[in-house]
Amino acid sequence: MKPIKLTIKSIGVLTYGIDNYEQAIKFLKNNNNFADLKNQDIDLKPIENLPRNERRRTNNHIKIAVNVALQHQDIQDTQIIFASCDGDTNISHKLCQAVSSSDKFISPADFHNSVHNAPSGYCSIAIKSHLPINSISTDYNNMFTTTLMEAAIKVKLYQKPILIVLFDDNIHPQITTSRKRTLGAISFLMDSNNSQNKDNKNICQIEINKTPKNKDNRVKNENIPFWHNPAHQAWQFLQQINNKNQIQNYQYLKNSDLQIKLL
Amino acid sequence: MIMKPEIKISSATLVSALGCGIDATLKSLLEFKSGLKPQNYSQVDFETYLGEVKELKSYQIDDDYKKSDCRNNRLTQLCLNTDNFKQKVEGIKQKYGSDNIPLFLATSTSGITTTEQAYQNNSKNDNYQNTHQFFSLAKFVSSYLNINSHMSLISTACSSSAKAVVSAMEYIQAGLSDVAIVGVCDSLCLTTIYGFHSLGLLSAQKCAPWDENRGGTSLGEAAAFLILEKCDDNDKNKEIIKIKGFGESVDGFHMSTPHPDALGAKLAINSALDNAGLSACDVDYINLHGTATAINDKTEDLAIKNIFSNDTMASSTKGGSGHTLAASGIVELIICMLSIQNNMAFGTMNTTKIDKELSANIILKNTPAAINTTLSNSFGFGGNNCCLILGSS
Repeated sequence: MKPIKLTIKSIGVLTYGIDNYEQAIKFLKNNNNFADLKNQDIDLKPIENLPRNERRRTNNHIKIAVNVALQHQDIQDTQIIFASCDGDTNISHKLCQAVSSSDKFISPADFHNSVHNAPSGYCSIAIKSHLPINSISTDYNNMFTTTLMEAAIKVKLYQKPILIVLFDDNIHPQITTSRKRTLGAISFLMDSNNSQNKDNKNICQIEINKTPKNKDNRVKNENIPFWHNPAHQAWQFLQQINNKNQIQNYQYLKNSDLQIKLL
Repeated sequence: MIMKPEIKISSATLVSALGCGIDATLKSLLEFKSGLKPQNYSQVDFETYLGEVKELKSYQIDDDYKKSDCRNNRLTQLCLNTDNFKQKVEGIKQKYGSDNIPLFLATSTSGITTTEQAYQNNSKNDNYQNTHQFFSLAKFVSSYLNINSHMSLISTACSSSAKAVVSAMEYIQAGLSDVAIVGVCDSLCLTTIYGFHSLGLLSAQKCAPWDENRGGTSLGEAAAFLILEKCDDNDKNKEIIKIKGFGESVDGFHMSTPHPDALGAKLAINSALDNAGLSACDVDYINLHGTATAINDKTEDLAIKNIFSNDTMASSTKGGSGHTLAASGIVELIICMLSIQNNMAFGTMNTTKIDKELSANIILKNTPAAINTTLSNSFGFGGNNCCLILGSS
């Protein structure tokens, strides 16, 4: 593939003890340990822009995704891709429990919240958007690179901004204990490389390209694996920005990695 | 903006209650034979009709994939082995290489039946990651076809597979590949049957879209796959089916009720027409989302009336297949392909008397006509809409 250039206009972060990008960068600069975050609170605000009856139906899975999307400005006219590996397993648990009971009664609200695109649906209501929104699931280890590639394709084709929202929730223990998860989300508003903010506050410009798989060349961070969330790959990118590492390779396909170059 | 290449459907396979394979599906459509039957699904205790794939009853997953065994992956495997699709994939692997064939898949519930069954036995689904997890479908298909390229699993309820087609088209149009495989599988499960029941959306009879007595939808299951390829010079003098355009939107209104003015539906249809460079009068046949629920049909009718003339033929084929949810986008795209190839606008099964309040030109019987361009609508929960336009060369 030919390299694709992108401008990262703004970044949103929401997890235990971290409410925005500035706090995330401060955390990285101080070399803090991700394991320590688990004991801190996560600020899952009600989604103010939703009508009251819709707001009442939102749960943590929806709140974390929509709140991290709303950390960006002017997204009403922006396409969005929501990426979650597992979706809302707490609702899956409730539904599977319900259909195993004698009356098999499913709550209508639980059912319509069970679709993988529930966070995107609530987000579109909150921001009154009519532009396309996608909801995808990816492999655990390459959520960031897969979603980044899907976004890059749209930027290349349409030369318009796009927001990606990477998030996952705690997995209900009765669904599976084979994967640990912590609640966490990261979002990136990006545009074509010639785009400029009015006040020139873009975070960085990057170039992405496929490169032959080489585990030894991939970014390594001993801290990040403690953050059990498929969006962890994106933390590695935050670290690349923070450390101003010009080139880093990330896990992507079976035979290829994705290289991100800071321009 | 970059010049967009034309994209053709070079292979297709489909398994639904209408039949196992493209030929069986066409036969059912031409004979106007619905695949809906009174429900006989284990543990369902109310009257409704379902579009079950009867071949699944005795079908087994291959021995190498026992960890992935679930109703969804069985149906997927059955479909990949139908219409010589797997062999055709081998052909494109030879041509492009298995590292250069991206996969865009769709599902809404994946293999949740395995977790439902585990809960009934007071146990856990030991194979959650290979069955129930959304991306497990993509992992199963990539392993089964031995393909190692970009993979994405789209899940936007009933618009999922139509949007998977869009993602594949964008991947090719951006110049990242000359080919893509798009596929979907959504199988029947207690979660969707009782979920739709809880919303009061299931009919006790076979669903009858646009009928004055329509009482809701009938659920079905299906798997379907397409190989999409960039058109080349060799296609110039051939009769091929191209995906001419696509349009997407969101309602931004409600999670499970469509926008009352059909705003999102109209935006998606108009966007598809713009993307294809066509006018509404160029469309010969519309395959409606047509779920047969009171409000969905009413809203879609509003959109059709707003954009198309009274001459444009429209029908819903869900009375034959049932509502196959995430699969409906590709299932109905393939039905549109059959419509073009056979110059036949397929009628609306089970519907006898059109609702007087609705005014789209609904065809009740199969209608022979010159069909060159079709529109297929998919409108999902979360107000997520996607429309696809097909055309012959």
